[in-house]
This record gives sequence, C-alpha cells and structure tokens, in this order.
Amino acid sequence: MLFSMVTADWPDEHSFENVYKSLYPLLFRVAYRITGEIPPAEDICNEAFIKYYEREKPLPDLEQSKYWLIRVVKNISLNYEKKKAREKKALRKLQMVYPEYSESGEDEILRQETTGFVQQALNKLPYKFRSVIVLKEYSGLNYKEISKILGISEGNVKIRVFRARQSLMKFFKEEGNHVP
Amino acid sequence: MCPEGETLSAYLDDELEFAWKERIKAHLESCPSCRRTCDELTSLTGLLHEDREPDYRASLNRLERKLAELKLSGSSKKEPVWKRKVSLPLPVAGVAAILMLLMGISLVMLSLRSDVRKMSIRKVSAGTLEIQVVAPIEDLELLLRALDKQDFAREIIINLPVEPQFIMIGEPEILRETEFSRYRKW
Repeated sequence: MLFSMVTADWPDEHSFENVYKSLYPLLFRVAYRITGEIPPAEDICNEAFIKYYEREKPLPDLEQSKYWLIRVVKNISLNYEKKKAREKKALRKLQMVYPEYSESGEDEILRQETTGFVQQALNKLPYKFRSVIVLKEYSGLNYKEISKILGISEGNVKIRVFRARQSLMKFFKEEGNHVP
Repeated sequence: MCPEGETLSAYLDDELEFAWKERIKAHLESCPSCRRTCDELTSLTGLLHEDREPDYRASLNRLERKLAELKLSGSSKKEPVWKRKVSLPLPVAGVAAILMLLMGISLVMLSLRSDVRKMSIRKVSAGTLEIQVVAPIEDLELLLRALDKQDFAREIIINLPVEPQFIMIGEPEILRETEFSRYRKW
C-alpha cells in the first residue's frame, strides 16, 4: 500500500517498487559487510535508495540500477569510514588526557557478541581491502565492474582481492582453524 | 614454476583469459601445493557465504515509511531548477511584467534604429557603373576597405545616415581616414 503511494510517478516496467524490492537485500548486505554494523548499514542503504528515488528518470534496467546503487553505497560507506576514523582519533586523544575514560565497555562487548565471526574478521581488514572483497563476494560484480566502481585498475582489484583473502585466512587460522 | 597466489585467486573467480586458465588447470593437476592453496581459497569463499546475513526487513519497513512521508510532504522529488514553480506577490509580479515589456520594446526600437544607422556609399565610375556599399556606421574600417577594392572609382559620394548621432570614442575617425588614404593606389 505504501509503495503504491510512493511510486505513483514511475512507469511500471522500471517501477521504483521493482528496483527496491529486488535490490534492497543485496544493497543492505553490501553496506553491512563494509560497515560491520546494522544501524549505519541501514542509514547508508536508505540514503542510497532515497537518492535513487529522487532521480528525475529511472535507469533503463535493473542491472544498471544495481550498479548505480552499489556505487552510491560505496561512496557513502567511504564517508562513514572516514567519519569513524576521525571519531577513533578523537577518542584516542581523549583517552590520553583522561586515561580512565573508556567508551568500549559494555557496548563493545555487546557489539562483538552480536557480530558473526566472519564479520569480525572483515572488520579487521583495512577499508581498501574490505571494500574490494565485499564487492567481490557479496555483490556479484566481476573485477572489471569493481575496478570501475572503486576507480582502480583490474590488476589492482586482483591483488587486493587476494591480499584480503590471505588476511582473512590468517585470521581464521589464528582464531580457530575454520579454514583447512 | 608455480603461479602467484593472486593468479590462483583470479582463476577461482573465473577472471583469467582462456589460455591462462588452461595453463593453470594443467599446472594444478601436477602441483599439490597450488591445489592446497586453491582448496583453502575455496573454503574461505564458502565460509564467507555461510555466515548469517543480517535481517534487512525492519530497515526496509523504515525506509518505506520514510518514502511515504517524503511523498506526502511533496518534497520527495527534486524538480530541476527550470521546472520549479516560483511564486511572487502580485505587485512584484506586475512590476516584473512591466519591466519585461519595457525591455522588449527597447530591444525592438534598437533593432529598428540599427537600420537607420547604416552609411551608404555610392561609387560612380568613369562609365555608367554604380556600386553601392551599405555598412554599419560603426565599422568605418570595413567601409574603407570595401571602397579600396574598387580601384577604378573616380568619384565617391558618402551618404550619412538620416539622423546621425556622433559620439567621440577614441581616435578621431577623420584622421584614420587620412591615414588610410596613404595606402591607396590611385
């Protein structure tokens, strides 16, 4: 019902409802795997869909819509990553002045408990490796498409995908031999 | 010689060209070490996909509500600037309309006047030939050059515009004309 209200301006064949229902799970998964937490993933994903909705014309097909939306999600995720890095830096400065101050008490423990071990491993990767491996494993894009979205060469994608895999394998071996 | 790890990783992602793919395939048959690397990479991919996915439905519902609010508030879609409606108070709109009208009229007047401000030059040659050159009064240079091309002219009559309006701008034109005459070949 809500959809019929919000998508009244869109032609049927490219209906916003169609794009939305088909791509929301994928976009949400990508945003979650990059950020590592549900609330920012929701914000990023929703912002991307609102941007899409605000487009004057829908994109010609679902594939292009997917590509466009992933690119937007990647851009917003990068901004989120930078913001998080700034906050961490500020926290470290604060802790230098007030050593007793600690934000990572119960919140951090709770966060770790609710996060799966795969996500914990992904969270440990630097952003440049995490974004590449997430796009490779969770968005269904090939190296060429990933290289276009991230603005790097295909060769670079190949190297980053492998480095990310190496780090993940190392992490899993150290944590409990999940990988043979 | 064993291929590098990233090549094996790209092989498993089906990102290698056919020739390379065949070579790696053949190599794997005879190299247990590379086979083990490939097995590890394959297991890792399996692990990444086995992980529990977050539930997106609550987020989806919140977005639906947000979109519905945007739609109802009428601010959901940004109209391009040229399509946006501009509302003005009646007196302001009236003044704007009058200004537009005045500007339109002055433009028409200017274009009419530009016809008047043409200088016509009639050249009469020794015979009966008569040539007319009409050019804007502002472009004296052009007139003189056009005139200069007609070497056979003996007599030149310059008709000034009906209502000439002379303004002093820069070098006096009469001096320029004298200067110009020095290059003429009579």
